[in-house]
Amino acid sequence: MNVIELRNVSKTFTDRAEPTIALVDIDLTIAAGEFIAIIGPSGSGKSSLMNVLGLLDTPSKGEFLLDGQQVASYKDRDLAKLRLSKIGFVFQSFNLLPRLSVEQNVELPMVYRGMKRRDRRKRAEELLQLVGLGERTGYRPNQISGGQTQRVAIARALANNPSLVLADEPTGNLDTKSSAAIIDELRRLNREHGTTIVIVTHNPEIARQTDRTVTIRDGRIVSDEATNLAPKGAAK
Amino acid sequence: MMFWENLRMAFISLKNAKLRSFLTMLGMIIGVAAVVSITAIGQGVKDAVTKQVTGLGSNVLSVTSGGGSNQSGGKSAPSFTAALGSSTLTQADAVSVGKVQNTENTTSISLISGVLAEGTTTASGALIVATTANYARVVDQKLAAGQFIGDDQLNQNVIVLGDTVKTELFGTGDAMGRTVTFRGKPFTVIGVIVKQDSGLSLGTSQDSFAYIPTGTAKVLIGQEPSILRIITKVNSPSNVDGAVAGIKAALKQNHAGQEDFSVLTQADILSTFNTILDLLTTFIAAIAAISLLVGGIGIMNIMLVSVTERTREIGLRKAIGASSGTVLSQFLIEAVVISLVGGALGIVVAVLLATGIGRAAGITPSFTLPTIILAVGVSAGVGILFGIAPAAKASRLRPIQALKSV
Repeated sequence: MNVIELRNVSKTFTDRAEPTIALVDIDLTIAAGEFIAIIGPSGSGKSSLMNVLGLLDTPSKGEFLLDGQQVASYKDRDLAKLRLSKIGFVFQSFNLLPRLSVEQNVELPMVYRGMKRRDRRKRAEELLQLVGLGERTGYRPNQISGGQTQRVAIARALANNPSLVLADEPTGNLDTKSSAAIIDELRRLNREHGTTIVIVTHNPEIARQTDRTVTIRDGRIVSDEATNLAPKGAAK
Repeated sequence: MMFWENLRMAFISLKNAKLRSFLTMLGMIIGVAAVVSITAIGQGVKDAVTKQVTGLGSNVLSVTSGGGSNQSGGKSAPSFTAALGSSTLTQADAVSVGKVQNTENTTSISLISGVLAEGTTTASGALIVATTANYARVVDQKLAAGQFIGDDQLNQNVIVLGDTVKTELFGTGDAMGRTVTFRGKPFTVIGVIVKQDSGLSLGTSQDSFAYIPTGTAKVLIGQEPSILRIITKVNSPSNVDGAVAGIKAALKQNHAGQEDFSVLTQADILSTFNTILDLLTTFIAAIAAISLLVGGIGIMNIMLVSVTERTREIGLRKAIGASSGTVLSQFLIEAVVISLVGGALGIVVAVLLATGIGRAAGITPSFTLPTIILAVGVSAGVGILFGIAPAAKASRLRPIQALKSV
């Protein structure tokens, strides 16, 4: 089953001083359970692609099937609903609302979904346990480390059992060690729970740790290949 | 469900910025406190006056010197300047009033100047009123001790003391049967009037009155005392209008066709007073209400700043799946919570303020339910009115742009 099917998707920004072409004829299929990296230098169009994949923006042209559902022409209101149930986001920074506790942050998508408070709390605790932060539920975002923040974001992304977890430079603000831990975490979730994960990054090191790397440049996909995963710890 | 979550979120936001929240609320607090306490005091004054005036009975008429401007049919108090001049009313007028159909008892009151003393103690604030035995029948005077001037005592040197006068002269001791001096003559205290519970009076408090018989007063000052007011009681409230007409006709005849006097029912006095007081209360409350407007603008201002500050938060919430409606209601509820909490605090301040002022001025402020409901309603209304613009701004933010902003 395919989670994502992009056919001939183009994105042109017409609201700028001069029309900018961000995506050109993108064809991309992502199957359920994949662990995939979208890589490209800044300005390549990878952010635009992520916005389309994350239902934050709609394509100017082409078809977009999410779980087999045609969503290319959806309006804002429906996109918000779909984001809520189908997409989990992990951003590079400002992932958590500073005024809410770690647990309340994880509960947020469930709040918007209208889940009962007791069920939410139980699920949030489970999710935090899952990412190894079962002891930190009551903490504020400013009381935990950057790596822990990203783990909380991952827990939140999983809250509504999304079809797809979109991680936008999830390790961009982390040191090497925490960075590796986060990728390992995502890898583990993918392997153990079958979560479909798309990491958007400019860092080839990160991409190398996924199963498939889609390279984008000037708004076009220039390569799409399985990653030759070097055994861990092997010389680089 | 979403509503309660938004409410919880609003309180979290308020708690996290206590000083700012308080300052934002301050406008509402001051506005609501001002409006509520002013109307409460106004209502308290009205209650006290109504009680005092209606205590006299709705069928009591008073005739005062000075032309009323009743010609146009409007009800009005006599002009103040006329009241200050020498009275045009005479004892003959009092007799005429007494003869008008349906009047039961008629009396007159005159003010006699002079110092009332007991030994070396003087009652400086005392106002000496010369009247007749009928006074007790017309005006419902309750006595704490003794009795009022009797029909057989009109020329005797007897005196009935108001509560304040009695306390001034005798403290807590017994005054009955004691002798006081007025204008060099000894007077025997035959009665003490019960303290009037209202601390408020149209003019001087009746507690500082002392009553002597008219006949005695005439001897004392060597002439017929000038009449301040003729008071008469009509046998039934339904005959009041007829009695007013009768009195007017009779007195006009006495005064060579000139209507240089006014006949006032208690309702007239009350309505005149209430009209003035209502106008005054509304006027002051309206000025105070301007601060509500200013408070509302303050809320809007802070909420707009808050939306800008929290652009990333809004972006994140929307990315996670919050709809525009959810974001709108979040910010709207926050604005309403600020204004409602401000309104509630305002009511508390108003109660303290009005009670304090009331205690100092001897008024019992009256907080009516409609006033409170109005205050709460206005606060919520201000919150919604001035919260809509910022909330709409927040809800219109597009998640990508909101996430990109720093």
